[in-house]
Amino acid sequence: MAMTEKDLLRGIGSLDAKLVEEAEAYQAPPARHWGRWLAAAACVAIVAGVGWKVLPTLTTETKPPQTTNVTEPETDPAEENTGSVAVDDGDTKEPVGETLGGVAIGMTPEEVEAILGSSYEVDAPRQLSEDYWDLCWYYSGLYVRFADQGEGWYVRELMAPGDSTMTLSTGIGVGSSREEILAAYPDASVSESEGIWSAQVKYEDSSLWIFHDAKNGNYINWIAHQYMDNEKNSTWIATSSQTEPADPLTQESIGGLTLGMTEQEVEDVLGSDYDSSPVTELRADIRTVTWRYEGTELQLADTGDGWFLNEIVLLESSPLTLSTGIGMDATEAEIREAYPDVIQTTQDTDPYGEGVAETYLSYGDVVSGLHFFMDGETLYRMELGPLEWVPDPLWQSMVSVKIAAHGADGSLVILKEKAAKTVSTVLTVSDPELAENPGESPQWWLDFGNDVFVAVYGHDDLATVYTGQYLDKTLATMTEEWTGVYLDLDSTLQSALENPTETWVIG
Amino acid sequence: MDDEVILELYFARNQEAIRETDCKYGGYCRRISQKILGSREDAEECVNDTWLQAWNKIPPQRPQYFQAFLGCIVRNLSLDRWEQRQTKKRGGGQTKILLSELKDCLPSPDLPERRLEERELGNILSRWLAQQPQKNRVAFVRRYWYADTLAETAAQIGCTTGAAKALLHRMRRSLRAHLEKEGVWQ
Repeated sequence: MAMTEKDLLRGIGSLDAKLVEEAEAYQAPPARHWGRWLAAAACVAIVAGVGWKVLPTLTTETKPPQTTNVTEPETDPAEENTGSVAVDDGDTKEPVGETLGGVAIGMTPEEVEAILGSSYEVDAPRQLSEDYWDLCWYYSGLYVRFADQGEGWYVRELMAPGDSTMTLSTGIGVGSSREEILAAYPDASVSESEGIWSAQVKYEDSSLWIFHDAKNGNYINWIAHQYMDNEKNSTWIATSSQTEPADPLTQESIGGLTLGMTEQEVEDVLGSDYDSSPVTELRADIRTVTWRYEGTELQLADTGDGWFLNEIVLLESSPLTLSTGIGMDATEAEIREAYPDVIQTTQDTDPYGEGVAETYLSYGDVVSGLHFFMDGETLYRMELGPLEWVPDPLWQSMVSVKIAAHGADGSLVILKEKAAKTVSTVLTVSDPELAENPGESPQWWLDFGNDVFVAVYGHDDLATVYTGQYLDKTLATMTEEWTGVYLDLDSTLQSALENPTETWVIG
Repeated sequence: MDDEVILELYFARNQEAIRETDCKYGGYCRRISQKILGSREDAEECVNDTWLQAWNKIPPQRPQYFQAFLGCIVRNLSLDRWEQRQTKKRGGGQTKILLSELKDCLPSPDLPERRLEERELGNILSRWLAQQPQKNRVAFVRRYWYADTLAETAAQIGCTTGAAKALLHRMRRSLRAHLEKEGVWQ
């Protein structure tokens, strides 16, 4: 009789007892600080901070470029770089008078040269999609990014780096104090996380960010909204920070439990009749433990200041219900009625096996949120919390919401938001190792638009990623310094790469 | 209570041995069983059966690794029960997924093979695992011995779920090559 997988599973049961006990006692070695929550909190700052680098890839749709009629600059750029520009707001909704270094969003290259002169370095124009070109001029103290969607070049983003002496129309520059910034922009939204303080000024069609970054220095970033998310007429920065839809992680409750509760608060709600797993040290400063109640599993985490409820899992026998009354006896129709925005996702939870594709309904983010796992019409599992741990730190240079992918044949596709997020999630790998220069042709090139390219090698379900900077901006030449990591090119990503527009739709 | 003391209770045929075993290793065994079966009730019955088997095996056996000894019993009992349930209805727990993963390790259909006793196979697997880095070893045992979920396995070894999945995938391929090299399928 042929050996089967069941025989193998049984045989594994006869492993040396020392191996079994080793696995039980093993504690993962401390690693860099973990940051599911911290990363989320810092997301806005990180994304905005690298926005300058990643924005080249941001658009896939054509939209008539904003036409701004600019009159002669009011100030002599040779004397100072803070002059304001009179803007005809008949066709624009940019803030009248706001400038950075005298330059305003929507200006033409000629207008910029008229203000700042012609002493700048320039990147070669890059075609990021069939009808979208990107170009950047690097002045000393001001980076100007232009876009051309068929009707000529115009400024779509400005950035003043840490050594810049350029100022905004209010006189605020990268060296201004927080008090000065808030005095000049009293309505600014202020946030602070992970050593990054930021003030965001939202204009109707653009967002201005002033950063005080303890680690990387101060900088100012001003971006037109329309280049962030054409389809929803909102920005991905703004979406991240202010217009987030109802977040089930913070607003949903299950059986009186909400994420973030302390141990005592959990016990006050469900009592103390539970089995507790051993404590796992996931990272140097995060520990996790699972409390198993009847039909309910709670994962608690401790990031250094006490245990808090991090994830709630309801199994079939759980008596608990959501704040909407949805319990484990709910039908799909009832779930959809209670949560009209749920998204159905089919995920091959085990790409190596067969027939284990899992369908679930997600409310909130696909990765983190409220998830209903269905078996036909039967709800058999409900989860509130992050689906999986996200390693930290993010590869900041790879943070992007839209990524261009080049097939092996050189064909170009622009991944839509969700696909790109999936890619960036997949690429947030930990412990990268130097790898040998790969000798085969990559399956895909992922272009993060910030001179970071990733070559994805692999077949079927497993891939190796090599990252590097372009030497001469051709697909064929990359630096010798490869960073190779294995990653799981799961069916979701594979599908996204192959069907970027059909499978994935923004929003 | 120290394992040696508990074992002395078994040898003295003192039923306190079971109570002390349950006190010390009840949670451990229930966790293993519940992961395989996905049912707390069934797991409870398997754990009770485990105590009975331990009572019958000790003496004459005096396990050197008492925890693993109990884990092995409850794992086998749970797999037995899972197979019984399979004939009646769809099983829960991790077992079905584990089995689908382990297909990776099976030979090509055109290769002749020989059927090994569980213990012999266990020895081959142990030798192969001993050659692996500790982190890989732990991941494999957590996943396929303890039936941990991928997320739990990843947490245990301190990496992401995706990284753990990829690691296990490579290990399964390595295991398949090792089994072929060992002549299991020659």
